[in-house]
Amino acid sequence: MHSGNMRLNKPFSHVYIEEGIMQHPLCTRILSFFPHAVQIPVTSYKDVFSRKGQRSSVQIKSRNLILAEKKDHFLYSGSVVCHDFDERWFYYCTNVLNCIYDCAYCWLKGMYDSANLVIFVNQEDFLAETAGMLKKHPVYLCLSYENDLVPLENITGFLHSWAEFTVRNPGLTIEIRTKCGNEDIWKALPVSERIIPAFTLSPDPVILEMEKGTASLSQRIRAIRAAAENGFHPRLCLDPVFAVPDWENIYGSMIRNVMCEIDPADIRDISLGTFRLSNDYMKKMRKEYPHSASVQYPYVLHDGYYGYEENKKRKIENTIRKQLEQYVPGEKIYMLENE
Amino acid sequence: MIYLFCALYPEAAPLIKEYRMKRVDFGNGIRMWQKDNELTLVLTGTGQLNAAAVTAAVLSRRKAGSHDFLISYGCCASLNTEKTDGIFLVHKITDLQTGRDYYPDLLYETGFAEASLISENKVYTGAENIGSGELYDMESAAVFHAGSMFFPLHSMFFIRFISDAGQTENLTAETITSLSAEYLPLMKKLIDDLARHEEEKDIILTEEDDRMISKFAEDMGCSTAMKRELHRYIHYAVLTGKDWKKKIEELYESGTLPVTEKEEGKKVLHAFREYAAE
Ligand code: SF4
Repeated sequence: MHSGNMRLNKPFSHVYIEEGIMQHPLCTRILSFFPHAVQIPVTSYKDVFSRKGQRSSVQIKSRNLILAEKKDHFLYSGSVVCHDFDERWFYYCTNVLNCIYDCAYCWLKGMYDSANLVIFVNQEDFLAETAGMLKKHPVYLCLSYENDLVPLENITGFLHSWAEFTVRNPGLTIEIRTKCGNEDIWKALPVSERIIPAFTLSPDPVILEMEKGTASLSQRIRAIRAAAENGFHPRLCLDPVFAVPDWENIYGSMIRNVMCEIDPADIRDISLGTFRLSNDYMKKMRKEYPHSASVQYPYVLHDGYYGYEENKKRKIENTIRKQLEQYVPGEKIYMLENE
Repeated sequence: MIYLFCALYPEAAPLIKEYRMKRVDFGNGIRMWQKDNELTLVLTGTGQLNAAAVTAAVLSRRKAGSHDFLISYGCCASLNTEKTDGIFLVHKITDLQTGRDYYPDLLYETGFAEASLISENKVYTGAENIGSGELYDMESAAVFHAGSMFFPLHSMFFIRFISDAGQTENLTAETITSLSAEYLPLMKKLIDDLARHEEEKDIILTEEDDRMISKFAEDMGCSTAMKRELHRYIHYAVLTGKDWKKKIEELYESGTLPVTEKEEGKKVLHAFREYAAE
């Protein structure tokens, strides 16, 4: 017998649906985008998503969709390895678990056993919980913390829902982080100082090698410009930065390129940080992705997190900071340590 | 290796014949046939206990693992007026006794229609109100449970053909064999495709590389933790296309290795890390 591989099912060939939300309008809407998918009713999304024995590295090539109801924990407090931009009431929420992109370094690969995408359709409960919290204090809410909602907006409508809710609730600020090149969304969402588009920027060699499925740098720049032209003040996230060969020039030329295309005065702020990942996630990713150079790199362990050696990290961050300071004032640049 | 589990001989007979499989003496009263190192067929007998015990015994003794496949194949009853005949890939198995649902990971295109199945340890007569499954059998949940201790979920396939709707009085061995033979072309395609399939190997360093690393670590005076680190650096060096063996040779040629003191070993390890990470 000669060799030849089994063909994989097309992505989203199967949709698992919690029995309790079959009639939910968002469930019906999402299913209409997958008319040929096999629908499999499930009692709880965890029965599929949290199964033992999944190989996420194989699954990611043919992942499926799970539609579910989030029962509790609608908002979480932010993590210590994340930029909080001096916001005291920093939260994140997870309308979606996992991401349609496939970044080699993505911490979701260390967090979950599954590469399947879970969409929680009960957006009304997320809004209700946020409204309750807003009665106590302002809320800064990161929407795309464990996913990227922009490429899913067509099928979910979550961003429109959040943006409209934000406009109505003055205590709420939302951050929409993305690697998507969609320009139209920034023309369609209501504009507010409290709606922050946050674009992750990576040079094309990094995008090509490590950020599979995401927009190219030029597409991202066009999306940033569309956001700025429509009145938003975008955040730029140079985070994570990787010490790829010739990183100084590669990142330097990316910064020049971006700053030529976008008026630095339109930029709200910039976050900057080198790659870092918790020990537990790294262990799991190294085992599951033995071929991935970006996780197999000999990082050093420091306070429970893997990252570059202190000297290298400082050198990268300081160099890039200086490159950025040619265009934006230093107080607009956020680095993890000085927050 | 592909492990095929059937409850009954009449289900297995057409496959045994098609692949000219030879009877193997496995012991413990387990009936087994094999074709080269490609295909092993095992009869579990009927019911959950038999299925779980035989599946676990075979897979354990044969050291089955993530580069093998499991196919559970056989007849079933239909619980559904829409699906009264045909062969199906099962996408959900409900164990009626425990209430637990099992989901194989459906990553590969197999060409089979799909259905859900209810599995329980007693014969279905057609009169019971079983619930919302489409098919019914007595072994799938047990084979899944035992199999999932050895295989990733995408390497297990549960294939069932409908032989009855619970009225089994007229169901003969010949009928089952002839139905199984009818579906042989589809089964053969799945088996042959799986036999040809090669998953990306997880192995970056060969056994020979490992031996070389052990010698290198010994000459460097590595502790267990240092050796683990060294292994990681070399793993990364391989991924980034570095000629790590040449680098090691140079260390011997220059007299840097073997070291005489542990501190020297630490320096060499550090330098090797720099080399790998650069
Ligand atoms: S875009 Fe973000 S969430 Fe999505 S895969 Fe990449 S790192 Fe992960």
